[in-house]
Amino acid sequence: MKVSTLLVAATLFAAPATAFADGAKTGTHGGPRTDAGPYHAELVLQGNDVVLYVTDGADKPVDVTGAKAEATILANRQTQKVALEPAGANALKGKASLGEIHDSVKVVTALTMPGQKPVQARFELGHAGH
Amino acid sequence: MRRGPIHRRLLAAAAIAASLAAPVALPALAHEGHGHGDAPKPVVATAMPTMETASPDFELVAVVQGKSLVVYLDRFATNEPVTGATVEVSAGGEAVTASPVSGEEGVYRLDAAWVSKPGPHELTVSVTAADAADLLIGTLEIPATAQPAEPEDGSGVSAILGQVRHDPGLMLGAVMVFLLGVLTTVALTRRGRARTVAGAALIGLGLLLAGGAAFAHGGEDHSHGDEAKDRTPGAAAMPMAVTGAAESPRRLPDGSLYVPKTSQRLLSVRTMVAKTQQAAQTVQLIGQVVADPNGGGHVQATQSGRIEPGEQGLPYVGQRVEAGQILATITPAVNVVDRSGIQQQIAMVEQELVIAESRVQRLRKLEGSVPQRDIEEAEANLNGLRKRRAALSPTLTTREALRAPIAGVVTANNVKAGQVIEARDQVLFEIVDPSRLMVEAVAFDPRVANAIKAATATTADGTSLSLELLGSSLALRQQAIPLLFRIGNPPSGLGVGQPVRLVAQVQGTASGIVLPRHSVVRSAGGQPIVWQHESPQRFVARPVRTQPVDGGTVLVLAGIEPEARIVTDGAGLLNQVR
Repeated sequence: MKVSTLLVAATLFAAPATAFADGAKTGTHGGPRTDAGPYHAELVLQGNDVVLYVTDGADKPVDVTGAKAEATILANRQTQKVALEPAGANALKGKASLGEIHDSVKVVTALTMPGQKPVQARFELGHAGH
Repeated sequence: MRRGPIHRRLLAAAAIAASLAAPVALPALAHEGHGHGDAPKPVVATAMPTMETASPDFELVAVVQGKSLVVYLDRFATNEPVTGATVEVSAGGEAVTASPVSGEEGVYRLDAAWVSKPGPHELTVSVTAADAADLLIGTLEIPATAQPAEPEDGSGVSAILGQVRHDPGLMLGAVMVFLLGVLTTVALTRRGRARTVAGAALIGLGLLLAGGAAFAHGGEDHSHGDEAKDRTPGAAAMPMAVTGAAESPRRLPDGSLYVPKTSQRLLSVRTMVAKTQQAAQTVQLIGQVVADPNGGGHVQATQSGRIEPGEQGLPYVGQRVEAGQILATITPAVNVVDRSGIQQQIAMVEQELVIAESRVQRLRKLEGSVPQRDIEEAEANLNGLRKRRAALSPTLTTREALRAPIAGVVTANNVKAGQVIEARDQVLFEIVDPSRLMVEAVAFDPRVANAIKAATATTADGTSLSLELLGSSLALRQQAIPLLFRIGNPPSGLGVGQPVRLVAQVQGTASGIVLPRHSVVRSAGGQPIVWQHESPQRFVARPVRTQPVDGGTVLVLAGIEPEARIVTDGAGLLNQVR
């Protein structure tokens, strides 16, 4: 009797505690992927092009029309701010002026989806030429 | 009739569990089914709005104090304050450079208008230190009133009801819980009397309050702003210290520690990142410091006599003496019978000496007329008598000098001036050369005794000694094998006979995480634990299984994962936080 009482209570308690694991750390475009508020954000640095891909929690592309984003890039001990504009589908693109060689580049993006508050994401890239 | 109450109790348990679980389940369901952010951490109710963030290089805590933001910047791996860094905080497109707080290491302060603006603020902190640059992000929640939140979160009925009133979702849940309680109780009683219904209503109200309390607790995490709306401004006007002394370290309900950065700086908490290493297998032995036979000396008298101080007086314990230095002299003690015998002998020798001298003189005058052999005989006789007298005369007056056999420190002085001592039966002075001390240990396992390669010893006061194995005895002493080690560079203050704890390395290696010995502290239950730096202001105790590596380090075989940040300095002080 007591065991079953405990069992019922335990089952009811345990159900909401189930956690969901996030996916891989590398996105579909080969860049690092991280959480940005309710979204997943993937950053790709190709030469001087900065591309931010936005997906939802289930990694489905999210339409970024009307969204805006700003990337703060720290490379060679210099920070620069780059505005990212929607560039079709779920990508936002911008142009940075990065030097030749970087040991590690740190990027913080602030993504503002239409009608929402900005959400931040932080990326760390080993090399610039991903 | 017996089965009725059992069913009722089961149903009652289900009802209680459901009402308790409902508030937990609702926020979980409201989370869009998407597991974002880090694993849930116990959120600490801080008196002032605080943002914690970290990167592989830095750890940053920003605390709102009045209209300014105080930033504590530390190294991620070591928890050392970062000084001389440029800290620039951007929020809402406005970048402000923080200036270092004078007199405090790694503390930066900035004034910005948005600090007093309620709501969540997305911060980007750009850190440029001498050797590293980084960007950090975080969200700073500013409650609606500029006043700091009350240290204790209101969990009284009024606070709960107030919160329920403000949130339609919570209100709906509360009503559902209330109705569930009433219906359950009515169903259980079958015969619905007015009295029972009243009781049911009471139970329902109780469940509502319980649910409300749970809501209120869950609400801390997300809705500081809502809570603050109900507070009267000025009610919590607490005095503001320059760098937030209002916060104090405390133990959280889950056993972890909340240690604000200010306290971490005071306790000088330092960490290291755990790395798996190979270390030699060790055994622990008990030993004691002994003097080297070539580095220790005894001073004994060869004859009985009376002690007289040397030129520099009698040596005292602890005095440094040189080899050959006269520590004391002994005036021989000759008893009356011996003395009269010696005096008698002297008198006889002197008498014979007078006769022999006059005979030699007489024979020399007759040289040429007496045989040369007679003269030589008489001279030899005279010389012999002179030597006898010379040998006899000082026995009563000559004193024996007691010299230090080696240079060292006097460790025992068993005599006083004027003391009469017997020959050989007494050690008068003991001298030990402090630079040549040894450690003698006993091993009970012959395999251990044969496998030992090197060892370190620790004295009771924590001094570490490096030891070199000289050899082990072939003769067992009390069924144990004595082992002799030489101490390399013995520190001052070691004493002969002092017990030491040896950690001897034997063949074979073990894999684990090497930590300084003082990282490992004892929990209240006596279990060895280390403190892991879990998040910027939170430390978690990790029970560990350890094995000593040498006097100063231990090998953690189990209990912590590589890459964890383990407290090295200040672990003992953290352990005292209650």
